[in-house]
This record gives sequence, structure tokens and C-alpha cells, in this order.
Amino acid sequence: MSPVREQILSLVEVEAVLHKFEEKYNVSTTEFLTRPELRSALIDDDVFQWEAFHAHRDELERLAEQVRSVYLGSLTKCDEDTRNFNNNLALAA
Amino acid sequence: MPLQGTNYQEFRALVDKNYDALVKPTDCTESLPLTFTPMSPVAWHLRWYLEFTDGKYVRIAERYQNWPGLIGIAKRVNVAYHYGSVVRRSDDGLPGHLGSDQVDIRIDNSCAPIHLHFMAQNPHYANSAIE
Repeated sequence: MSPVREQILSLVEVEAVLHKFEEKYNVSTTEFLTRPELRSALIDDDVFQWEAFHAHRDELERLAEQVRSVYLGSLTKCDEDTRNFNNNLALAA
Repeated sequence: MPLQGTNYQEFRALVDKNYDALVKPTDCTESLPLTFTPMSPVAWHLRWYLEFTDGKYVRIAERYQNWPGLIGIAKRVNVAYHYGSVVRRSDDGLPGHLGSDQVDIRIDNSCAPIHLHFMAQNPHYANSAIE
């Protein structure tokens, strides 16, 4: 058997895959998801992948939001002196 | 494949263990090697195509996503297992299948709980009706 493959994709790449399906069938992802009658004319594997990558996009967006929330939660508010110091540093740079 | 919840690491360990034990028949080629597309520990899909010299093919596709309300646990939400003759090819050269195409056996959960098609699109045999 061939070695098992693992395909790691970024959010941008997942969105590109969705765009590829939209162009191929000239239908938006929203239309594809809301009009089940469209599916009977599509190759099963395209339907499978289109649904999968749509769900994956949601998952990656959820993860990005989670990371953003954790990052923002880790920030500490600076006092006035620190803010002035940082402003001076920025001006000096 | 597990019916209970899992995560990508556990699932890969299970698949890899069983995959390594497989022996491919001499009349079989992999037109798409087993390919995992993981997004997170609780979201991934896999695809695998095998073709035989008699014109038959096997398609395996599964998708997992997080189990609502259970942190870190995924469940299988989409499944498709096909065995039959290649009647068309998709743009990527792999065997293509429309719902109306006849295959010998098709198991999926498209539009309904998991069911089996045998030699025809209809009827759908529910899991409980299969011995």
C-alpha cells in the first residue's frame, strides 16, 4: 500500500477549494447547501468534499476566534506611564 | 471504524495500525491513496480510491466533526462506501458517481440515516434490515 497521506490546509486554502467548486458548478456554496435538488446532478465525491470543506471552514474560523480571544484575554492593561513610555519609544523609532 | 466518539489522534492510530496490516491484491491499484485532511483534533475527512483490473472500484469517504456539547470529541457525520463498475470519471480522473449510476453496493448516509443500496438506487436498505 502507498503511505497514508495527510493534507494540511490553511483557512485561505480551504476557501480556495470552496471557490473552485463554486466556479465549477456556477453555484454559490450557500445555494449548494440550501438547494438539495442540485446535488443529484453533481458527482458524489464533489458533494462530499464541498460539504466537508464548508464545515472545515467553520471549524478553522472557530479556532481562529478562539486563539484571538485567548490572545486578547492575555493582554494586560497598561497604566498611563507605560503608555507614555511606549509612545516615546514609537516616536524614537 | 469507531461508532463512539473519537479524536483525530486516536482515529489515526487505529487506522494506521490496521492499514499497515493490509495486503493489496495484485489486481488492485490505488488511484487515490488513503488521504486524511485534518483541520483540528475534532474535524477531519478522509478519502480513498482503489481500482481493479476488472473495471470495478472502491470508494471510501468519511467526515468527522466535533460532537456538539462534548469538548474534544468528534463523531462521524458523513460516510460513503462504494463498490461497483467505473461508469464515468470526474475531472481529477477518479471514478465519478452520480446518484442515478448503478453500483454493486453503496453504503452512505446521504439524505437519511446510514443505509445500503444494492445493485440499484432504490430501495434503500436501512441498517436494521441488514443481517
